[in-house]
Amino acid sequence: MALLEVRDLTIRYRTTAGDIRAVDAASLHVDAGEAVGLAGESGCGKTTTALAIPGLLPQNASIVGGSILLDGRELIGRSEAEMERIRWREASVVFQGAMNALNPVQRVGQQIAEPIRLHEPETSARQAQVRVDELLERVGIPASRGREYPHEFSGGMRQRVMIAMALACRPRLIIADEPVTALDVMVQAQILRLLKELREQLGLAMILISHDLSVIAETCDRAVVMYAGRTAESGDVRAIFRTPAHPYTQALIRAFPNVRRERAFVAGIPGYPPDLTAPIEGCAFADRCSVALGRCRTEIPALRPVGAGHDAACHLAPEARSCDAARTPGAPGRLAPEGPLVRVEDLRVEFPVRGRARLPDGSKPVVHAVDGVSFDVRRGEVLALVGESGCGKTTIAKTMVRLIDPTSGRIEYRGSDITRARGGELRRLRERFQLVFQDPYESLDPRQTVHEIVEEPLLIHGRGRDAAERTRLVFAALEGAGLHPAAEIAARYPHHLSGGQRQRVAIAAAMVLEPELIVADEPVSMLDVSFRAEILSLMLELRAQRSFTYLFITHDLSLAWIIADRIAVVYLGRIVELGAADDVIQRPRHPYTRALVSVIPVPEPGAESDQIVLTGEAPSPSAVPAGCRFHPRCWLRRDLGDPEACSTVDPSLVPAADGRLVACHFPEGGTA
Amino acid sequence: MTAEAFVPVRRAGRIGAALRTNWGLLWSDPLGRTGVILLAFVIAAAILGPVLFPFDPKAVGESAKDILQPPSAQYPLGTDELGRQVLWEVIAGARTSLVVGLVATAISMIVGTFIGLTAGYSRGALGEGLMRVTDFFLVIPTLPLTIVLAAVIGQSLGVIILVIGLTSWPSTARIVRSSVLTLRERQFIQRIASLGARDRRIVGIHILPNVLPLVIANTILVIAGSILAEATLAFLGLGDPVNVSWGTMLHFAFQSGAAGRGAWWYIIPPGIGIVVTVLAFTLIGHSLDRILNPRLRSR
Ligand SMILES: Nc1ncnc2c1ncn2[C@@H]1O[C@H](COP(=O)(O)OP(=O)(O)OP(=O)(O)O)[C@@H](O)[C@H]1O
Ligand code: SF4
Ligand code: SF4
Ligand SMILES: [Mg+2]
Repeated sequence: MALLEVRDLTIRYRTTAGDIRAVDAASLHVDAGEAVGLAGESGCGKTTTALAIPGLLPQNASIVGGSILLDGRELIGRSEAEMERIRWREASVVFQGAMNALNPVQRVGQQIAEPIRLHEPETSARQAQVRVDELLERVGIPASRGREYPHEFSGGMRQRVMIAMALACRPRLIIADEPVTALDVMVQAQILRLLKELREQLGLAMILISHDLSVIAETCDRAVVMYAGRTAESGDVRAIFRTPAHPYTQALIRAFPNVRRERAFVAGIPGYPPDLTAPIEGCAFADRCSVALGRCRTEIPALRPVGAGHDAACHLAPEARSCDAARTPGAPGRLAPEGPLVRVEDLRVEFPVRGRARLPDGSKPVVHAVDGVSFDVRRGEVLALVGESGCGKTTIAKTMVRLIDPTSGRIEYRGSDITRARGGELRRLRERFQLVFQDPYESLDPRQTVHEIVEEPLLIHGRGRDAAERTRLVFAALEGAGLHPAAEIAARYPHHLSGGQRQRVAIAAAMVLEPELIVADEPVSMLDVSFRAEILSLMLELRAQRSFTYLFITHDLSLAWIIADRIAVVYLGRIVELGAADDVIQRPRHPYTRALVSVIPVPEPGAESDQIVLTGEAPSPSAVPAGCRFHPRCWLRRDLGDPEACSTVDPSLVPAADGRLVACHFPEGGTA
Repeated sequence: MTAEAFVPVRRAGRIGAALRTNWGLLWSDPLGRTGVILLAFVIAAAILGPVLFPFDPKAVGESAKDILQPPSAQYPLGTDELGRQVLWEVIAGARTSLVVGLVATAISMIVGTFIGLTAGYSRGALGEGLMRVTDFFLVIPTLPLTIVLAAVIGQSLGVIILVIGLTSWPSTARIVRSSVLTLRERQFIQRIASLGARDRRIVGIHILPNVLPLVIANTILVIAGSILAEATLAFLGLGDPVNVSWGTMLHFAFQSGAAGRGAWWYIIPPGIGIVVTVLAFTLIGHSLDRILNPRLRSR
């Protein structure tokens, strides 16, 4: 018998805009010790389904049908007191984003002890303390750090604390909602590995919610794909990823790059998920499905078996094959080397550390945000800067376009020195270089209409003879960014647009001045996968049409791989490897790149190669290690028996045998 | 629709629309509505009162029989120590209180917003210096300042307004500055700055409209404070002796010993005037704050 059995669960939210059918007859089951992944785009009801299990739905939600059986006992309709017990002792939750919600004024250890005290009052204070220490060690945190406060912990460590807390009363099922979203690749790999180990050691069952199919492919036994509140497909991860039966699953898998395969461009899913306030006739996916039939619009497809333990809710399953043609168009061309557009030489940016701290020699400590970086951006290319958060990617880019003043170094634009450009010259540069930011919700003035937003650069630089001409330019830019009809979109405010549309507006505002270089700082990391691909292919299309050059900043190596011609890997304010995208991702040389690449999740179960999971996190840029800055975490150094050069001599970025640039004394790995 | 036919929404039209929706929200909030009704009452008294019941401070009672009379049919709210009708006096006081409250707050809001914007937006010495000045004004005690100014310029409504204006802008400046500091780091401001926009444009077109809701809600609360400050100063005898206000009424009530002789009708009406007006502005201010700054909206 299944440990957890959710059958035909239907949940509504009451809102002023009408009832939202967030979950619509969804079903799933979890066996003891099994890990089940819950996948789907934002708003498809993953969190709502998961929160219903431990009875944690918000006030305005009501369960209108279905059943939730835990060990054969019905959970729906139980009293709050009973649910409270179940929540900690049987099915505990790691909430989405909860690592940012730890109580800032309570010691971490006390916060973990709280559920033990509440739910196992027979435990003495001493016993509880012993348990807390055990839990901390178990999630990889030294027990002594339990006396610290949350702000002294990094994001990854706070997530570990949340996991420890969920384990406090020895539950059998853990529900983890997006446990690795917003964490760096390496930290993400650490947390996923931790969850895997915990499951093996404690025999835990787990529901892992993630919008990232790759994460599910890598960590789960079975997967459930949801769409518009309904279960679209469920089954063994191998079956789901090798022979996806539902067109939605097929499209979703195509939206993720797979670095273990040939490079192919990702495909978006055109259209938007349906409005959940209106009743949906027939298949919820029909509007976006490339193989929809007439009866798809009238008849709701039932979830039925398409293979052993593999169910899909599609009239055509298992024969449905949505077209694969969309997989390649727009894929970036190979290197088209033209002369450098911008060139950066030995760039350094230091920020003073706040406060009165002094180094032993009495000087004020500084943060070496950018610490001797040289590269060029070639005309017409896409150069990606990748690296963990805080490594200095954004500072490098902003300094290059003169938004931050460098401490030392030289920046050249078309051969002329712009390091100290000011006044009119700087304003002309502002016209040539444009930025697209990460968060489309944040980068547009909420009090301006789309028209004003896109017109603003024209006004600032005095372009366009009159209002009519400016409006024409604005409309052209909007159409160019794929926003139709421009006139209708122009009159709207940002909050009346979807995330993808907002990012298109930001792109339209960036290209209305016909710049040469566009710096895009994580332009798709806040977007759902299905829109991601569309924005990326828009950017590449625009490059082809208007010969833009891009500097693309991302922490996501697989994204960099599909969009960039060349990739520069940044570690602690320094470029450690720079080369053609395929070389860097498929044949990485620097030990840091090799580790990063090895932990990129791929949407293919069983594909994980030998992962190199680095321990700990990058040191602070105010205390850069001597010698090679990577040496304290370098696995190759350890393999090589700790050669002296690593901890004494700072390797410079020099061409390796194949011409790519690597900053390591042993660029041929252990073999040379 | 072609580009030529496109009529962009104008700011003025937009502000009108915003006012209409916000008015609707204010009216639908029970506390906000109470404030609006109370305020309408006070404003009506201030505007219509002097027209309908002209109060002449020199029209003192004719004989001792008219002095400090309790409420009666002839004197609905009794009379004061000079035999004047308290009812007329209270109505006249409404105008003074409102004028002081509004003018002082206007000074405070303009100075405070300007200094707050400048201090928040300009990094470095200028911003620091302005904040020092703000802190200096924040700690100046109102009372001695009034006494000094009254001694130099003379006791007048102008002095009172000036003193209240000068001592209440720092709170506005602080609020504006702290919200500018966060706005300045917001991505949309950074994006505009990266386009090469001049500071004046960034502040005027992007920052000011985004701090204005905060300022407006705060302003209403400052009005309440100003009215209270005027009442306090006048009560302490620093008011303008020529213009009747609720504060001066209380002052004379106590000074003439009327309070000591149990002339409650002379004390309670101006007291109620002050409480009702301050309450009205406070209710509206808090309600607007919730409406305009939705972060605080009840969850
Ligand atoms: N408290 C709420 N009140 C009203 N509607 C809500 C509430 N919470 C969620 N919804 C709506 O219910 C639907 C399902 O939301 P849910 O949070 O379960 O999705 P999700 O799959 O977890 O999305 P994400 O990937 O963004 O976390 C969405 O349309 C959402 O807007
Ligand atoms: S039921 Fe029809 S519309 Fe729905 S996924 Fe299958 S083929 Fe597409
Ligand atoms: S120089 Fe040494 S420590 Fe640095 S990356 Fe190479 S092997 Fe590792
Ligand atoms: Mg969710």
